[in-house]
Amino acid sequence: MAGSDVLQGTLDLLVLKSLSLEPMHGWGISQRIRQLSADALQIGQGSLYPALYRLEKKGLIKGGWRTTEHNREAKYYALTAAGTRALGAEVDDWRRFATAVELIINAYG
Amino acid sequence: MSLGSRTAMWFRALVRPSDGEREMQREFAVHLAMEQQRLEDAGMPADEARRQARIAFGGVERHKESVRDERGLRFLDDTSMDVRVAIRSLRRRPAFSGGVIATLAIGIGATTAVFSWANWLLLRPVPGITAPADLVPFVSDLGVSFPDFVTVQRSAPILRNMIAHADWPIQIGRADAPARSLSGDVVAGNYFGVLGVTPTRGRFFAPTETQSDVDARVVIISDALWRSHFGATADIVGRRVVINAATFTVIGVASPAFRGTDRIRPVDVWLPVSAYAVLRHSPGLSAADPKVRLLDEIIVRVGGRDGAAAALAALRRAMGALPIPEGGEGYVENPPTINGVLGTPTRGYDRKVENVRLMFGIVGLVLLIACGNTANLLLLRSVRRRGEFAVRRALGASAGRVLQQHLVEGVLLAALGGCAGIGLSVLLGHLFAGITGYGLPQFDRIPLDWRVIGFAATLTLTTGLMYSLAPGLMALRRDGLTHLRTAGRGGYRAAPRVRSALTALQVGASVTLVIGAVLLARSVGRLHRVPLGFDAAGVTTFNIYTDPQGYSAARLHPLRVEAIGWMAHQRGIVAAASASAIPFGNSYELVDLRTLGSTGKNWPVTVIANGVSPDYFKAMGIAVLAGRTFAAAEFDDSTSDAVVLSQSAARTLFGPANPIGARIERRIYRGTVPLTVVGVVSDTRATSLRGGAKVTAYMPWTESNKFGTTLVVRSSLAPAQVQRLVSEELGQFDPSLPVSPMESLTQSVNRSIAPERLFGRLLGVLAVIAGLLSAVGLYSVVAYSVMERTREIGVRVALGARETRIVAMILRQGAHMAVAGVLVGVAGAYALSHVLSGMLFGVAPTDPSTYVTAAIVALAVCAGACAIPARAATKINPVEALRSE
Repeated sequence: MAGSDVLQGTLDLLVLKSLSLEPMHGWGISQRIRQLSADALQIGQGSLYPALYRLEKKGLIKGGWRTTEHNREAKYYALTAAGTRALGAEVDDWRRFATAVELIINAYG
Repeated sequence: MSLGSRTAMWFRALVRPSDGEREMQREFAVHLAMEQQRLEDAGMPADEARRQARIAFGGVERHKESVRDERGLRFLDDTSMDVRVAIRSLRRRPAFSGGVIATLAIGIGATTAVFSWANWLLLRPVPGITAPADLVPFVSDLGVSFPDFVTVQRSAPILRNMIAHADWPIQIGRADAPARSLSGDVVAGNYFGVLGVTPTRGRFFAPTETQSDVDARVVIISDALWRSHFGATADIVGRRVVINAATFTVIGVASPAFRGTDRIRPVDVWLPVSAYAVLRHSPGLSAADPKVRLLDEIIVRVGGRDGAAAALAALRRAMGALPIPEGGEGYVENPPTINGVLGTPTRGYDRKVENVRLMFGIVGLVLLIACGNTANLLLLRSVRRRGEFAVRRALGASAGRVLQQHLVEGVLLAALGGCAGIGLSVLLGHLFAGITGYGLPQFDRIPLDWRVIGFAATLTLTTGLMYSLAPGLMALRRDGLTHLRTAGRGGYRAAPRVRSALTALQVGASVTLVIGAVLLARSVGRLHRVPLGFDAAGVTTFNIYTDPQGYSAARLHPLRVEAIGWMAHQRGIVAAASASAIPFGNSYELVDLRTLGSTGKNWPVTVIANGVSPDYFKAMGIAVLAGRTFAAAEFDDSTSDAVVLSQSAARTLFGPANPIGARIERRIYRGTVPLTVVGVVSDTRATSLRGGAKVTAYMPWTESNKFGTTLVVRSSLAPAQVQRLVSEELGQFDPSLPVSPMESLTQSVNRSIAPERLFGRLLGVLAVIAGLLSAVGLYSVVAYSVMERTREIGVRVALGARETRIVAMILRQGAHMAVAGVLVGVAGAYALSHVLSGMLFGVAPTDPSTYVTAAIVALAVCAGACAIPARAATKINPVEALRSE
C-alpha cells in the first residue's frame, strides 16, 4: 500500500463522502479518494470492499449493477437517506477529532 | 438489517453459497479490469498493467474473507468448512469413526426402542379419552352384575359418573363367508359420556338402550373397523350387521383415536348390556339376573386429589351392602380394588410390565457403556491430534475456532450415530415385541412418535456436545506454544483416575450382562430338555370357536366327526383328532376327581378335563401305558363313562394298584358323575415347562367340549398345506365358520418360553456388544497411557529394560482396571440376581460356575485388549522416542 495508511474508521467517512456527489462503483471510489486527496491518501483497493459491504449492510449505501460509460457492467453504490445523515454526523465527529488532535499538537508550540 | 432478511441471507448462503460469492468475484474482476485499463491508458504494457492492478488491489482471497466477515457469513462458512474437515478426518480413520458411530447407534438405538415401548405401555394415557387422569378403574374378583351396578351407581353422589364394561370376543360377518373374530366390549352406564368420547358419525347409546330389560340390538363400531370391514362407507349408520349369528344395527362410529379403555386389547365393537343374552345364544340368560356377574371392570370419573380414595370407600360400602345371591359369594370377602392406572396393563400383564422395566435397566447399562466408551475414544483421538491443534493455535486459530472444530466433529459423529440408532431402534422394536408382548398383536404396531424421536435427538446432541466439549476444553487449556513444546509428552494428566474408574465400571457392567446372559442361556437349554410327554414335531393345531355362532353341542359334534374322519384319509396326514384342550393351548377346564364311594369334601386330584377323539393319543404321540384308549362308538356317545387317566393322576388315586376298570367320580355343580378308568397314558406338560406336570383326564365328552374344538393333525405336509386342506373342508361344512390360523405344536411349546428365549438372546447380543465395547474402552485407556509414557518407555528401553518387563508393566496397569471391573460386575450380578430369578430354570441365580466362567472370559478379553498396546509399547524405538521431544 502506498501513501499513508487510512485510519480505521475513517474509511467509512471517505467512502460516504465520495459517494455524496454521485453513485460510483468500487474502482471509481478508490480513484476519487486518491484524486481528491491529491494522491496523499491511497487506499489499498481491495480493502475498500469490506467497507462497502459493511455500509451496505448498515443500510447507509445501496448497490446495484449498471453499465459504465465504457460499456462495462459494474456494481454502483449510492448513498441512501440514512447514509446522507450518517455522513453529516461522521463529518462532525471527524472535525471534532481533528480539532482535538490539532490542539494537542499545537499545545507545546 | 432485519432478523428476517438476515436469516434469509444466511439461508441463501447456506443452500446456494455461490450466489453472494459470485457477485463478489465479479465485482473484484470488474475492479481489476478498470485499474488495468487505467494503467494501459497511461502507457503500460498489458501484462505489466495486469500485474500492477493486482498489486494495487492486494490479496484477493484476504479481501474476500474480510467481505464474508462483513456480511456476517463467517460463522456459516467456518461451520461448513469444519463440517467438510470433520467429514474428511472421519473418513481418514474409518475404524475410529465406525467404532464411535456403532457405539452410539447401539446405545441410542436400544434406549430409543425401549423408550418407545415404555412410553407406550406405561407413560402414555389411553388415547381418545377426555381427561384420563380423572378416571379410576376398579375390579373385584367376582365381577359385577348389571342390577348391582345400577344399585351401586345410585348409592353415592361420587359414584354417579360410574360405568362398567366387559371384554366380549365376538364374530362379525355374513352368512356366506367366514366370520371375522373381533374384540367386543359390553358396556353399562353412560359409557361414552363419562369417558368424554364423541361419535364421528351417528350417535352413541341412548339411556334407554343401556338397560338390561330392553332388546336393543344396536352397536357402535370403531373407526378402524368402519374402514377395514365396511370400506369407510358413508351410509354406515343404520347398516345391519351379523354379530354372533344375530342381526344388529350400527348406530354410530367412535372417534378414530378411541379404541376402548384397555390399550392391550383395542375394541372393535361396543354393545349394550342388553345384548348379553343374544351374544350367548341363551334366551334364558339375562343381564337383568343379579347372578350374572358379567361386568369385569368399573370405571369412575372422580374429581380432585382424593377422589380415587373416596370413590373406593364409597364403592366398598355400597358393594358390601349388596344382597348375596343363593350359593354365591359376597363383596365383603372380595372387595373391589383400584385396578392400577386406566389402560395400564396390570391384570395378567404384570410380568410383561416387569420385563419392560428389566429391559430399561439392561439398556441403561448398555447406554452407560456406550457413553463412557465414546468419551474414551474421543479423548484418545484428541490426544493423538494435539500436535495438529497446537499447530493450528500457533498459526493463529482462535481458541474458539479450535473448540468449534471439536464441537462440529462431536456433533457430526453424534448425528450419524443417532440416525443409525433410530434405524436400529426399529429393528430392536421387533425383537422387544417378541420379548415383552408375545400374543399381543398391537405391540408391533407401536409407532415411533415425535417424543421418541425427540428423545433420541436430545440424547444424540447431548452426548455429542458432552464428548466433544471435554476433549475440546482440554485442548484449550494450554496455549499454542506449550502445546508445541509438549506435543508427544505428558500434559493431559486430566482425571486419569476418573477414566480408569469409568473403564472398570464398563467392564463391570458387561460382566453383569454376561452373567445374566449365560444364566438365561443355560435355563433355556434346560427348559428345552424337559420331557414333554408328547411328540410335538409334525403336529399342527387349529381352533374352531363355534360358540359365538350359536353352535349347540348337537350341531358341533357332527362337524368334529366329519372333519377328522375326512382328514384322516388325506394323503400325507398320519393322524387327525379333535380335543377340547391341547398342551400349551389357550384354555382348559379343570375338574376334581376321587375314587367312587369316597365321602366328605376330599377331592385328591384336580385334573385338566380334555374331551378327545379316539385318535388323539396317536396324533399327539402320547404313550399308552396300560389299558386302552377310546373306541369310535364312545366318541359318538355323550353318555359314555370311559376315562383315560394320565400316569400321575392314576398314581395319586390308586397308588401302585391297577387302575384299569376302577370306578371314579368327578365333581360337577351340586353332584357327581361316575366314570370308569379304561386306560393310563404318560403325563404331559400342559401349560408350562416349569413346575410339575399338570395331570390330565381324557374323556370323550366334557363340559368345555361344547364351546368349540381344536383339531390336531399329525402329518408330513407343510403346515400351510394342512391349513388349506382344513379350511376348504370346514368351508364346505359351514362357510360362516372362522378357522384360526394354524400353529405347530412346537411353536406353541416355544411360545410358552418365548420371554426366556428372547430375553436370553437379547441379553446374549447385548452382553457380546457390551463386552466388545468395554474391551475397546480398556484398549483406548491403555493405549492412551502407552502414548503418554512413550518417552518414559523409551528411556527404560534405552537403559536396558527387557521386552517382558515392558509388557508386564503395561498389562499390570490394565489388570488393575480389569480385576476391579470383574469384581464390580460379579457383585452387581449378585446384587441383581433376584431380578432374573423368575426367568431362570434349573440353574440358581447365583450359580458359582457361571460367575467364574464369566469372570474368566472377561479377564481373557481384557488381557487381549491390553495386549495390543503392550505389544506397541515393545515396538517403541528409544532413539525416536527421545528425539521426538
